[in-house]
Amino acid sequence: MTVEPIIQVRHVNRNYGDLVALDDVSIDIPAGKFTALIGPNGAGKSTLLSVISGFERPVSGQVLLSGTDITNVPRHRRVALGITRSFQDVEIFPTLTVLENVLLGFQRQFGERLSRLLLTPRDVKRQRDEFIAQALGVLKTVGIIDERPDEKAGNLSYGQQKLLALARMLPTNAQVFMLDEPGSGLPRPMVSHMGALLQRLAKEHGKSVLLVDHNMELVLEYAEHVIVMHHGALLAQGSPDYVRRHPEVIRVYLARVDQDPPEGPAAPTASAGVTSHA
Amino acid sequence: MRFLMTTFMLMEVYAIVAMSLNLLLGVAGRFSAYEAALMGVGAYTAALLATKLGLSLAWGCFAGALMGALIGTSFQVAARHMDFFTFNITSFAFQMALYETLLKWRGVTAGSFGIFNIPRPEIAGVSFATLEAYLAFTTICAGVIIGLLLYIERSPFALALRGLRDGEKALQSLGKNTFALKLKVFAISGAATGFAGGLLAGLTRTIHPSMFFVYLSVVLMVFVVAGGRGNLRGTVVAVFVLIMLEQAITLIPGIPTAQIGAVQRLFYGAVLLGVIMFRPNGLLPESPIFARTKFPGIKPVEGGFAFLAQSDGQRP
Repeated sequence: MTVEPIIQVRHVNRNYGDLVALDDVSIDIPAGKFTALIGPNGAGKSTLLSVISGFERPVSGQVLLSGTDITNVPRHRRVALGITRSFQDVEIFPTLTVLENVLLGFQRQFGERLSRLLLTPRDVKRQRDEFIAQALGVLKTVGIIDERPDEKAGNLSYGQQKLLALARMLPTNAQVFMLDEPGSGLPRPMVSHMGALLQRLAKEHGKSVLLVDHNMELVLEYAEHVIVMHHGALLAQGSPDYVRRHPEVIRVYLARVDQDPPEGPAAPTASAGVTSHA
Repeated sequence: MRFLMTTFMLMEVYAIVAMSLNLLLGVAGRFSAYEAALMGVGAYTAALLATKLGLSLAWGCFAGALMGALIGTSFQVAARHMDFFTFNITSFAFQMALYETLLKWRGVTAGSFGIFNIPRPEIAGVSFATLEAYLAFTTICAGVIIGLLLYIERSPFALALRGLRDGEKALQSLGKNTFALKLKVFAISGAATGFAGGLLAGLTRTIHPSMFFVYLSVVLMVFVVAGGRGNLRGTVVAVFVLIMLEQAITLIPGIPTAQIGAVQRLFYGAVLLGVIMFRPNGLLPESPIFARTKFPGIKPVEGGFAFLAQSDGQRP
């Protein structure tokens, strides 16, 4: 790979009891590219995202950001270092307005520090007005949700909430934007809207975008680099075209995505119910 | 007249405590059932310093605030790993533990006898011993504290607290230190509550543990729910209206004096039921603190995500 990696995952192991979620995974996320992470359910994609963002601790292994070990950095501090993420279950702030959701994304807010709040109320007010103007700009560029900035986020449609989750991450001005299934459950026009936005983040602003999704339109049409995981390990990686033709990838994943929704837990077989008296 | 002045001071004291409870309960989504006991801690701290060490009650109030903040934050640190329900039950238990401490630590608190003859403060030669003068003292203190709480309520800090209420994980993913946020809000709320306790000690001049029984915590919650969770202005209104009505009950002819307390408790129960059934969001429901309509002059920044690129080189 010619591009410098921004995130390096080194020999990471993570298990939940007997279930191995990540099995000695080593993956590089290229800088300034739109990367998609795909694989069947239970392949460890979301766990990997959580390990990189600090929401899960690896049992062993390291996570490096631009060469610096961040394995033990608390999750909120990773945002200041340049990593932010969204969640599969959207996790917007439902009782806050669209505008307020976006405002919470800004870093180093004077108004969040009690000392500045009391001693320098003018700076607080000036910065707050700047942030409001920027937040409105973000909403305008993201589109669709900008028409009703005072609407409670909980009243938005599912697709709009996904857009809001993205809009809210932008003011963090992170280097790495990680999105957990931003395209799932979205109507087609919204999927391409989302894809175009993410592509723009990478191409125009040099951000590294890491996406986990089952939506093949989003992955194969918009991503520049695709990483495929299977059973907690790396299966293949490369350009969308390379991955699309990879026989192993077709066998374990792509063939199934085309036919039916990703498999759920396996149905218990008859023999599983037989009690052993050995 | 004395009756009116005393009632007004009670309103001020309860307004401070109910507002700090609303900051926890309504704004930050943190439950607390030990607000009454925390007020008691403030009152006892101020009263003991004033009676035993001869310290001015004004300093006593600040000491009470410090104790309130200390105990409030210590509880939060101790309970940091608890889930929502365990936390709520534990906070009730904490109320009882603090109450029993006031009742049974006789060597310090004089148990159920309480503390008598608490001197009202004297500041720079001006005595606030009379009821009129003390009214001025409490009104100035309450004005400052209520003003500060209302200012904090509409700040980016409070927006982060509201985010904490809606989703802690999401707030962390946006780079906020949620543990520090919790500590701060518990400290602010505890300090205001402790200070109000000190003011109450000077008002009644006699304190005993039964003043800070769990019943008061429940009444404070009624103030918060009736005024509107997440809206501190609503709490002020609720405190003034409900205490007025509560005191008006004492003027109803025909109720035996011994039964007035029971009727008042019935009244608060009825208010709580009525609010939950007919106006669940309270008298003044929470409104967005950063509504677009409040900033008509602010235009969206043009150029889309341009600001993302601007500060790329400035990252430490």
